[in-house]
Amino acid sequence: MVPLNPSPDSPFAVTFGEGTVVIDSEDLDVLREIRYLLRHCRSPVDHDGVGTGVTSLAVRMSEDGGRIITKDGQIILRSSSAAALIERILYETTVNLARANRSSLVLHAAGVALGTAGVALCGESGAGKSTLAARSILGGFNLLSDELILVDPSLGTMSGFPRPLVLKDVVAGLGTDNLPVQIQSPAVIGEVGNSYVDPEQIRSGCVQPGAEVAVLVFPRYSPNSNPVIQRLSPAAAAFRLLPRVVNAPNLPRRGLDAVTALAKRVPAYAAAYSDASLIVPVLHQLVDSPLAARHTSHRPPRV
Amino acid sequence: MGLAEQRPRPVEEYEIEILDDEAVLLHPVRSSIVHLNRSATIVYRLCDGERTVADIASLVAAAYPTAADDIRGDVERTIDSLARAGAVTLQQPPSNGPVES
Repeated sequence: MVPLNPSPDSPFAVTFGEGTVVIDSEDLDVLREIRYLLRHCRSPVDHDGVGTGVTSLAVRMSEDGGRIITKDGQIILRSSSAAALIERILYETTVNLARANRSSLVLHAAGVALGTAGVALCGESGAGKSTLAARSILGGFNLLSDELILVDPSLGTMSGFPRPLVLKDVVAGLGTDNLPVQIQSPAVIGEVGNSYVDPEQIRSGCVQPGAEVAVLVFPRYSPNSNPVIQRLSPAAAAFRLLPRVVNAPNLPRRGLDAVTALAKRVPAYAAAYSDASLIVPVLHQLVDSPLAARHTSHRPPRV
Repeated sequence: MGLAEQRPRPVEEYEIEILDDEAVLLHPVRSSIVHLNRSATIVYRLCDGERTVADIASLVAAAYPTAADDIRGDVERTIDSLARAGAVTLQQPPSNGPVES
């Protein structure tokens, strides 16, 4: 049994919807780092580490003095690099939590919220979702997640997986250099240029568990472009949402029903931008706009 | 044989959803996704494997007589796009075959 209030050196569980991942490590430095990074995602209840939708990840010492990661007892990585171990545990945690959900819609998207009004940022990989999320936090939004949101289309609500923000150095020109953030430690700088940033270091108290889905935004980085906002039809929104469904194989008609329900309910916009800081006022406008609340017009808001 | 004589038939595996008269098609195995605007949705729904492309163009032209001159080309381009997207197959009209004496 994973205890509810464990010591820093005990295994712990994280949850996201129907998914649970239990994490253990014989390398206590690695365990403490992961526990800290995932502290906003911790399970509110004890977990025995077995059952439907449960994955067990463990870092073990190998005979050659290195480390191995096992997933449900099977070796998936050998490495002596703490950064590589932590990055793989975070990746496996995210992927397995997402895929474990069999009834709700899991979208590869960032989620931010202003009060109860949530914005789902449904960008492709490399579109700058995490940087937009970081900029949104600076602009007064709370963070649900920079990577995964769980949506109930019938209720129009979403919840997030508030792992650390993953800011990629390779997304050039998005202005990450002057974010008032600190990198946790060298151990959490990934080997492929990812930096894991604690959202609390951007703004204290910014993590929020859930919100109503007030607007869907499909951001696209476009060099040398002022923000351009275009209202999308429900079908165009569904077309763009479907590739973002992480747990499609678990859902009826691969999520088509859930996605169309969401697209019918929530107004959607495509947003092209070159400077992430300039898009945040647009998000404010979309959340505040009657268009976002009632979505009866396809006229885009003034930018 | 030209496109006008072909008989487009929807690929049955596609799941379809209509939102505000626009179609979204999802192939559950290939995971390919197609979005059709309103006019393309009208054309797609007329594809039944029996009508030829010319038949479909005539039906659409009858509904929009003021734009009839442009419609044949638009319908052919739309069906060609649907075929390239894998949403319809183009079938030859049935051959009369050799006549036995």
